[in-house]
Amino acid sequence: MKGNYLGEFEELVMLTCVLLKDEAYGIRIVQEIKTHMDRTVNLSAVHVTLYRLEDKGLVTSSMEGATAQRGGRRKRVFQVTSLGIRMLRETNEKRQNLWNMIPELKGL
Amino acid sequence: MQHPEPQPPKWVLRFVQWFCPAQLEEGILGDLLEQYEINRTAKSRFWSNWLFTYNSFRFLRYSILKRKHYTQRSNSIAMFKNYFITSVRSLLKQKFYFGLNVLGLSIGIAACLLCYLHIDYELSYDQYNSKADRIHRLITGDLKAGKGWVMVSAPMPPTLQQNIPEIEAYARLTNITKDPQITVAYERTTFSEKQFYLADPAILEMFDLPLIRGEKSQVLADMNSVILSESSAEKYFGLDDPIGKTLRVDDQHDFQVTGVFADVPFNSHFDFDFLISFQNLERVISNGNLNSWGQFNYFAYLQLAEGADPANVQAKIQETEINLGENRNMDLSRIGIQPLSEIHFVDNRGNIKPAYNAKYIYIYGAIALAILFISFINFVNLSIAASTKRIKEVGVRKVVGAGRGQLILQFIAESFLIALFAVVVALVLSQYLLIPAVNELMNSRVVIDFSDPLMLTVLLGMLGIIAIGSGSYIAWFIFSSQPISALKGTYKAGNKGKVFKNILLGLQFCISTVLILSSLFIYQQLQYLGEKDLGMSKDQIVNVSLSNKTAQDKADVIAGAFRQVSGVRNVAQSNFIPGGANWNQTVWWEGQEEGLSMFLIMVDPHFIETVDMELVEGDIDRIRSAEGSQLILNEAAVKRIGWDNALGKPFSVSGGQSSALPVAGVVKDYNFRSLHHAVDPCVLVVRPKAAHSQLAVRVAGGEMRQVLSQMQDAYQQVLPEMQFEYSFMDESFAILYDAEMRTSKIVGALTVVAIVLAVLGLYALLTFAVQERTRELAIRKVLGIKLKQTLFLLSGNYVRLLIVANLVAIPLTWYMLDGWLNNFNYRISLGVATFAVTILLTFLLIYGIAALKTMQSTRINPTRALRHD
Repeated sequence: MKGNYLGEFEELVMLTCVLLKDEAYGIRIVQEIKTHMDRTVNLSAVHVTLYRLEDKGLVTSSMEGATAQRGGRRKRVFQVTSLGIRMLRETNEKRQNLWNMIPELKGL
Repeated sequence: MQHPEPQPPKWVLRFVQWFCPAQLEEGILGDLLEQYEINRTAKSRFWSNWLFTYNSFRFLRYSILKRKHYTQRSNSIAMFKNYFITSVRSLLKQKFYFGLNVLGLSIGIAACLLCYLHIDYELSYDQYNSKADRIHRLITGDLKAGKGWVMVSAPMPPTLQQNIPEIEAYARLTNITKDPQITVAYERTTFSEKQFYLADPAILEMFDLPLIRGEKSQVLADMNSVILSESSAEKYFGLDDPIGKTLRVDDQHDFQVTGVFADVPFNSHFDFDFLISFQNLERVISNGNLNSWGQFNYFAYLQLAEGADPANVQAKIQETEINLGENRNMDLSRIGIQPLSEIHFVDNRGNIKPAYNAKYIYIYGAIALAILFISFINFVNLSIAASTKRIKEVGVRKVVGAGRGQLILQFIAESFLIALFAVVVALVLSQYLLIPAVNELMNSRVVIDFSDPLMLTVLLGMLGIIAIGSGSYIAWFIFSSQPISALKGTYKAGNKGKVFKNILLGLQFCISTVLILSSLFIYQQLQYLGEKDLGMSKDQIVNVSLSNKTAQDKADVIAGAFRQVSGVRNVAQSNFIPGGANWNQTVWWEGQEEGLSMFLIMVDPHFIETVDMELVEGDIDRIRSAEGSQLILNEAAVKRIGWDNALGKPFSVSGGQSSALPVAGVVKDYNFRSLHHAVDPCVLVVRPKAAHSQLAVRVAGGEMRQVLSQMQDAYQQVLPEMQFEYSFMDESFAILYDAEMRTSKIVGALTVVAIVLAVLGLYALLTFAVQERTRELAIRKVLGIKLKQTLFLLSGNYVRLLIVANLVAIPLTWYMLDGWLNNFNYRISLGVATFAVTILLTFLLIYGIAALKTMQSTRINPTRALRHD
């Protein structure tokens, strides 16, 4: 294994998941990243990342609410686990520590 | 308004459903569809469909696919394990056939591999130059057909560069001596060097010749500078710094070392160890003239501007007009340019290294493929023969429920296993045994380079073709013989696949016959060339070279000393070297209408007698006693000029009428070059007083070694500091047929390989045939069959095949060899006797093998063979 840390894209997807709460499924995440980050990501990339995070136990998923849209198919909605939340915090803290150690960047 | 719900392409949907893991499919497809619906509101139908397809395919990746669960996985692992075990078992059970298979295949693969490496190497000639596609060489004469002469005169390249803007740079190059060697001395060490060249400094920039010491723009700027190759620097100076040291050349010129260049790569069309400035031409080469337009004796390379059209440049060269004064114009219409990439492959006269006939690429390639094919056929035939023993195994597998595909896969995997093994054996064989041998034989530097993608492709391709080809054929063969019946006990090893087997065997016979015939005829042709009457004698003649000026000045004394040696019949001085005679100069005669250059050979008056040339016109005594220079033409020259009678006609080899001499004689045509070519027009320049570089010594026979040692003593007395260097003229002529010698050896070796493979294959097939027919033979034995009848019974089929194979092979060989022989100006005719003998031999071979098996079959004990019936 590569070690116990989050990739940049993984972090982004997880944060979007937390933000979207019950609406956190593939296509919504793509749209959300587009609106907030102005970044176009491919649907398959998001899916693959989520499955990988699920393998690591950082998110869980459940099938929910069929609608007339989507050809009547249910959505796979993802939820960040408490382990996931902790990972997100740690990642952020560690990064912040690094920032704090660099005085040149502080004033900005 | 009711819109029918927009639908994405159905096939994409089905595709996603097919590859998606079941547990993920709903979520993924749902998202895809939602995206599609969003897209449809904003974009065109076509565009949304395309996006949908694109996005769907993006899901086709390993991280998705690996989540798919194969329910039957564990089961099939056990199955493949079982396949593997039974395969290995069955191979080990028949070690002899397994060994034969691997050996045969590996020989075939190795032959192909070597052939590939060889061709790749030959094609790499001169390609290491970064400007390779822009470098051209000036040549004269028939440009494409290999009848050109590759040297031009010294003023030509600079003049052309001035007149034609596309020519960026030029570099002239010439060996310091037309004789084999020249002495180079540093303090007390003296070596004879063959590769001492004069060149324009531009050559260093034009070709990729990196300097280890010195600056490219500086090293040859001075007339007295010399640069030498890394290995030569080590040879002369050891570990000392070579820069600034003085080398004495030809015992008369001093040069200062100003630089060292990396050794010229072996796959270059030229090779030199020393370079001095071309401006030294008049100083170091006796006839050399920087301003003479008629001396066609120097290589000249042109570097064209980027994007320049060579055809255009050639046209411009041929249109260039040059006024030589006295109302004489230089005719450049026969001057052409030859791209660097062609130099190694066109057999023009005057090349530094013998050209590689591109036809050999096809010959070697064809033979290598033929051998691969033979070994492949052996492999298939042997596997089929061996597989009859495994019918029952296949039957059981079918009963247990193996699918057809799985069984085919098993046989393919088995073939793959053997082929893989063979590839490894082939690589080991090549690396340690064959490549060194081939390099020795072909005078090349081939290595296996595993980073060469093409080579890996070739290897893997062969592996794949062998595995799939033979595996599926074996599988087909087994299925068509209905393995279930083997379990019922009604199976008979019958004639299944017999036609195909026969075709394969017939082809094998055919290839073997073609190879045997070819190698025999190539050998005969080489014998013929060796014994052909050259118009002069080459046996019993020793050439002694005089490698520097000191030696040449004392030539008369040495010749006199040699004449005293008992056993020496005659001694002559000349500049003649077999295959050499590279001095080419424009000539003049009265009434000349077109410019023409001829080869000049400088000799002394004794030469004609010494080498047994026949004087057609003229008087030998008058030639011998004359004081001044005399000219003797050969018949080809007289014919070229168109004279009926040449004696006394004015003729000149150096300029015009003013220097003309009456022709003193005409000699019968003699081959001073290789017998590939007809005899060229040639002039013998007889100069009684001039210095020559060669002594031709005719020995009367008797004890050659004794005569040589006496000659050495005589030589050392005159020149104590020089090495006595000699060669036999017949051997020097033999070198001219080096390429054919090599071909002969290689074709011979490959033929032996092919024959061995064919014999092994036939032997194995007969073994199986006898095994299959044990009961039949036992019954026949009980009924009193004779030995002779058994022999015919066993060999009948193969003999019939051989007859058919011969019917194909003979015309084919005839056609191919006739083409090859037409390369030679002097060739043998294809004798019927050789054909007859070969065919007889092949029949004997088949009967021999069959006889061997017949003897074995007589040992069959009928009671044992028939016990079970």
